[in-house]
Amino acid sequence: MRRGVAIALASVAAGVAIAPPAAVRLTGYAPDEQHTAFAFAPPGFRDVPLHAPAFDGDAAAFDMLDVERTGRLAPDATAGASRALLLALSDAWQARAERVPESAIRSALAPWPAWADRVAEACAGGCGVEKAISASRFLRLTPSMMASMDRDGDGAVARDEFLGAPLASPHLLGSDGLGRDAFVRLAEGLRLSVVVGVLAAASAALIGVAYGAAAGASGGFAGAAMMRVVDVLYGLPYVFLVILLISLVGPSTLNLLIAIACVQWLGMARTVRGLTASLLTAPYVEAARVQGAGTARVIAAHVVPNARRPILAWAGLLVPASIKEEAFLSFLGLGVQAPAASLGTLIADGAPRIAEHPWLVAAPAAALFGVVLLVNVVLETVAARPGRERKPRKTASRERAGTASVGDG
Amino acid sequence: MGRAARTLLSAIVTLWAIATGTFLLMEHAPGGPESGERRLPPEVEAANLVRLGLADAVTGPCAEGPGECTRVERRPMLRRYVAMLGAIATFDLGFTYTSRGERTVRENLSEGLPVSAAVGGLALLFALLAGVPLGLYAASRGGGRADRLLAALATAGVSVPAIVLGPLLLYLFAIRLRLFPVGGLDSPASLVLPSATLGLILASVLQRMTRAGAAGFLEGPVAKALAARGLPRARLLGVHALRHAAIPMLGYLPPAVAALLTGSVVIETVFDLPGIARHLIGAAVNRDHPMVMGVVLAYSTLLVALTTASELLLPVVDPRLRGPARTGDEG
Repeated sequence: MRRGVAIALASVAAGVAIAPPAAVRLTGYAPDEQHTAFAFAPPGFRDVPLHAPAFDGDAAAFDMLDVERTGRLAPDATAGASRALLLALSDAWQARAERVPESAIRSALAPWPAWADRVAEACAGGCGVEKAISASRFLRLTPSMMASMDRDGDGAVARDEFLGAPLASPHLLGSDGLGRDAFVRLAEGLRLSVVVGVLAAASAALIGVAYGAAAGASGGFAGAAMMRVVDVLYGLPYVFLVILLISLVGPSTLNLLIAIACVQWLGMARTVRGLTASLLTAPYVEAARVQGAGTARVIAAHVVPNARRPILAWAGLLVPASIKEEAFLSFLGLGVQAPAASLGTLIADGAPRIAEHPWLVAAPAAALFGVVLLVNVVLETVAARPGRERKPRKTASRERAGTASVGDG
Repeated sequence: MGRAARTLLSAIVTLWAIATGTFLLMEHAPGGPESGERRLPPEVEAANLVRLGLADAVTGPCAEGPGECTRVERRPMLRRYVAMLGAIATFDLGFTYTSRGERTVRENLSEGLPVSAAVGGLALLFALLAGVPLGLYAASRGGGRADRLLAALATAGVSVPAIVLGPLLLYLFAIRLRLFPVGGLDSPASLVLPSATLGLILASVLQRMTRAGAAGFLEGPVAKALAARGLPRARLLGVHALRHAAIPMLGYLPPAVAALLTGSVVIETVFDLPGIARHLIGAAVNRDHPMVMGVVLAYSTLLVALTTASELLLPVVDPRLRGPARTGDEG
C-alpha cells in the first residue's frame, strides 16, 4: 500500500516534469510560438507550427517552390507569399467568415501565379480557413525550418536536402489570444505550479519545523513569546500583508515562493512546538541527556526523527495548500510573470473571455482542481490506514483551547 | 481584568500592530508620492506634498537677503505615523492620492464594504446552514453510504480553489443557463453566484469538521450513556454532538474567515463586483497609501472581530474553559 502510493506519486511527478517537452513533441508547437493571425483558435484547429519538428516528404514540392529552376532555395524563398496569404486568411478569420473566397486567395498570391494556382485548386470555390492553411502548408517554410534542412551549411537548401513542407498539427486545446498553443502552455503552467507549490511547501515545512522545535526546546517565557507571535500572525489577515508586500516589492516567481512559504509555515510551527514539548519528556531523551547530549543534538537526533510522521503528514497538507496559494497569487497578477505561465495566470488570462472561448479556462482549471484533488486523496488514503491516525485539526484546536484556558487562569 | 476586556484589548493591539506594519511597509517600499521620482517643478512638488499632508509650509527668515520666505519642510516619519494613528482613530483617512482630492478613503470603503460584507456574510451563512447539518447527518450515518458520498463531495469541495469554482459556476449558470447576471452588481441576484462559490468551499470544510467532532463524540462513552438513558436521538445529535463539534470549529473560524476574505478577492475579480477587493491591489501598486491603509484595516477589523467573537464564544460552548478551576483533561 505504502509502496503503491509512493509509485503513484513518483509517476505523477515524473509526468508533470516531462509534460512540457512531451507536449512540444506531440503538437510541434514551441511554448513561445505566436500565431497572432489565428488567435483564439478552438480546440482541434489545425495550423502549421513555425518550429515544426516534422516534415512531409513531398519531393515534388521542391520543384514547385523552385520557380526560377536554380536547384537551390533561399531561406526566405516563401516568406513573402506566406505573409501575403496569411494576412488574407487572418482577415477572414477575424471577420469570422465561414469561407475564404477563391478570389481572395488568388489576389493575395497574385505575384506568385504557380503557387496561387496550387492553393486555389485545393480551395476551389472558396473554403474554410483551416482548409486554406492546410493547402498552403508548403509556403510556411520559415527561415529557421530552412536552416534546419540546410545540412551542408551553404545558406541555401538544395534539392537533396529538401524534406518537404511542414506537417500541419492540431491545437489540441485551442490557442490563446496570441495564438500560442494552449496545450503546450498548460503543460508548462502545470509544471511551474507544481514545482512552486512543492518548493514552497518544503520551505514552509523547514521554517515551521525549525521555529517550532526552537520554541518547544526553549520553553518558558521565550518559548511562549515565540508561540504568541505565531498566534497573532494566525489571526491576522496575513495574506493581505503578503499581497501588499508583493505589490510593493514587485512580483516575481522567487518573491511568490517566499510569500507562500511565509504564509504556510505557521501551522507547522504550532504542531512541531507541541510535539517537541511532549517528546522532550520522553525517557530516551532523558537517557540521551544523561549521556551528555546538548539540546541541539537532542532536537536534531531524537525529537525531530521521532516526530517525523506528524511532520510529514503536515508537510503533505502544505503541498495542495501551496499550489492553491500559488494559483491565487498568480491569478491576481502577483506571482508568475509573462511570458512564463502557471495555472493561475492561465486561468486569469482566460477568465475575461470565458463566454466566447471557454476552453481557455476549462483546461487549466481542470488541471488545477485535478492536481489538488489528487494530492488530497492520496493524503487521505495514507492517513486513513489503521494505526496511523493523524488529526492535525483536532490537535491544533485542543492546543488552542489549552492556550485560551491558560490565559484565563 | 475580565476575560472579555482582555480579549478586546488584544484585538485592539492586533489592529494597531497591523496598522504599524502596513505603515512601515509603505514607508520602506520604493516609490510613492514623496519619493520625488517624477521630475516636477519644485513649486508643484511642494504644493502636492503640503496638500497630501506630507509636508508643512514654514515661514521664516530667508536664506539669503532680508525678509520673510516660505519654505516647505517635510514632516518627519514619526509625526506622519502619529497623524496616521489619529486619522485611523477618527475613521478619517482623508483623500485618496489617486483621486486628486475628489474622493475620500471613507467614500471608497463605504461603497465597497457593504458589497464585500454581503458576499462574505451570505457565504458564511450558507456554509453554516449547509455544512453543519450535513456533517451531523454524516456522523449519524457513520460509515454508511450517505456518509461516504458526503465525504467524497467534501474532499472535492476542499480541493477546489475559488479561481476554479468561480469561473465554472459563472459559465454554467450565468453564461449557459442565463439564470444569473454575468457580472457587476445590478440586483441581489448578482450576489448569488459569488456567495455560492465561497459558501460551497467553506461548507465542505465545515462538513468535515462537524462530522469529525460529532463522530468522535458519538463513539465515546458519554454518548452511549446518554442514549442508554433514553435521550432522543435528535437531541443527542442536535445539542450534544453539535456542541462537541463546535469547539474545533470555533478554533478554525479565524483561518476560515481569512480564507473567505482572500477568496472574496478572487470572486470580486471574477464576477466583477464593486467590493473593496479591487482597491487592495490597485492601491498598493499605485502607492496610494491612505487607500492601502483603509483597505487593509477594513479587512483586518472584520477578521479580528470574528476571531474575537469566536474566542468569546468558546467558553459558552466548552464548559471546561469557564472559570479558573479546570477539571483535568477529559477530552
